[in-house]
Amino acid sequence: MISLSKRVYGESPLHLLGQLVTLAIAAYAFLQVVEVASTDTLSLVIWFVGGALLHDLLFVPVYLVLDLVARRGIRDHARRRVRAVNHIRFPAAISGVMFLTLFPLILGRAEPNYVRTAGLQPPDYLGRWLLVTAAVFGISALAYAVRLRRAAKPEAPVATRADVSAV
Amino acid sequence: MTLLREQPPPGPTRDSFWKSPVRGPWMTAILGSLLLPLVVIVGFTGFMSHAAYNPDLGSNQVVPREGDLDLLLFDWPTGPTWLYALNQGLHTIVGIVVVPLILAKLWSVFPKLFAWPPVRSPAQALERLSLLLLVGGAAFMWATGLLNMQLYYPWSFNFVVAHYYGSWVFLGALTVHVLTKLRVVRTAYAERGVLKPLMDDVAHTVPEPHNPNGLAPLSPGEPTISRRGVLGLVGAASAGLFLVTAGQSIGGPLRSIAVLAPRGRGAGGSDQGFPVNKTAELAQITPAKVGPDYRLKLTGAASSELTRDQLTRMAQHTETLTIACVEGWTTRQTWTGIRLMDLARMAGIQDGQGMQVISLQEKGTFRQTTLSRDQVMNPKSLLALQVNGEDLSLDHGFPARIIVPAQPGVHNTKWVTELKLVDA
Repeated sequence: MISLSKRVYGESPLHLLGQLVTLAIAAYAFLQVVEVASTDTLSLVIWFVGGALLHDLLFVPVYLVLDLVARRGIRDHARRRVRAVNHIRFPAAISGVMFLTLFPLILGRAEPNYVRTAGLQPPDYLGRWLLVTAAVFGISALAYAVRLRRAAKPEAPVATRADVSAV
Repeated sequence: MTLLREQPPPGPTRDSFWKSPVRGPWMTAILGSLLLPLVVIVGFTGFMSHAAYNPDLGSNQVVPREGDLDLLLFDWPTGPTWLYALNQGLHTIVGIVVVPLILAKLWSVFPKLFAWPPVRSPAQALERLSLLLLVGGAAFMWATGLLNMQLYYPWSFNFVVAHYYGSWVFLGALTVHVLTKLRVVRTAYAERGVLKPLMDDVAHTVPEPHNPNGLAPLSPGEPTISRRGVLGLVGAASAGLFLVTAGQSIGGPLRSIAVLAPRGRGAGGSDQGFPVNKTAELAQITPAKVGPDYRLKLTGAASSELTRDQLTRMAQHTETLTIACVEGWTTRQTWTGIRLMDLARMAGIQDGQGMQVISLQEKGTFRQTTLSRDQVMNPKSLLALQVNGEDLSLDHGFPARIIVPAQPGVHNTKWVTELKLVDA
């Protein structure tokens, strides 16, 4: 029975049961939302499938290409073994994920709503995000400079041993 | 079909396209292992928040009750006073800081999207469909949750209903996914050790061995980052998110550095020093409605009407209680007013009764709320007239608002016009 299932279905019967459970729960949940009068089914489907498509077909390709450009375009110091590209990757990831997560706030997309609900003007989130971005890139640059300096010094323990044996 | 199998088109469908030397079963296993407990926290606190609204009482439900299995319904406790703040703090903070980890997990399995041939067997076709539910579900849950926190609603469905049932889809798909992948994770840990690959620096980072249709690269590039570097990158992005947002929930010194939180630094409140979540203007509360003609209706076995002056002459009690919004922000203030217990006794509360609270606000889901008996009879539950020693401002609910420990912020009804004893 199991070998037949492997040949025809491609996996064990347990696998099939698991997938069917997932699909049945999803269909049930979908119908519960569709039944609510205010639900626009098209909007719901777009938001459900759209997120995955946007991530897979736009977001990931863009950051993979940017990473490739950074890797190809940035040359490490000839002798000092510090990976320069990671000093771009870290601040870019910190700032980029912040933007991705908080873009409505940063771009003021919900500002009228914010003013009506909270009763005050939102702070300058775009300015703040830019300052945070500047800060993380700045810290990363500083860290890179420090690491380069350290890498330039002769390796202390080796030098000591050489000195001792010379004496 | 055979031809397809032997010759994938050039590009991402070919194994040789993917170069990252740190991709592989171990990398995916460790990212998944870190992610799972955090997602469990977000999911658990989500269902707890659903229960905290006491949806079985009166008209409290936002998600239609018919069809809801109500597996998790119980009387939400009234203490400790910061219980709902903790719940929503966890839900939103963990929800935010886990974003980089989700992205990294998806990056680690990205080549699978282009597996060739696209469909190898019925099993694989079904699994790909479930993965769409898993990934689409994750994107849906995080997008709707994060946008709701930022008061941005570019869609045409009810957020609460869609976010609630979206979690069924996501958590259902996740459960089956985890069970399906347990063996792969165990194998990866058995072969490489759970933490051992974290010992290697960039120079010692060796790619995991390639298997056809596996995650490890066929022709890996030169490593530019170690495996611990990848986790460090994720951790740094998470830490960044934590620092700029978590203060709106946790408070203290963190609040002053929460520069990108909707209710963080400089976004607290123009009014009496703490946030307003619905202005009087938005609720259409005019000064006339709360003027000398204002009466609080007390409806029960012994009904009465009270002016605000009469209310101020009743026994006053002071409690320091937290308002915690479902969206994660908190504020802790000192409230003065009449115990709900005293008002309920005045109206002749009987066994099995709770209290419906009705606002002067004429429209909106939360213009009324039903409190459980425990909530009404808790000595800390107040009909507050003052905050921090001064009368409530109009935006904060003048002439009187509800403040009940540990309940969702939006149930602390403002501009109260009637308290009605009801079966609950």
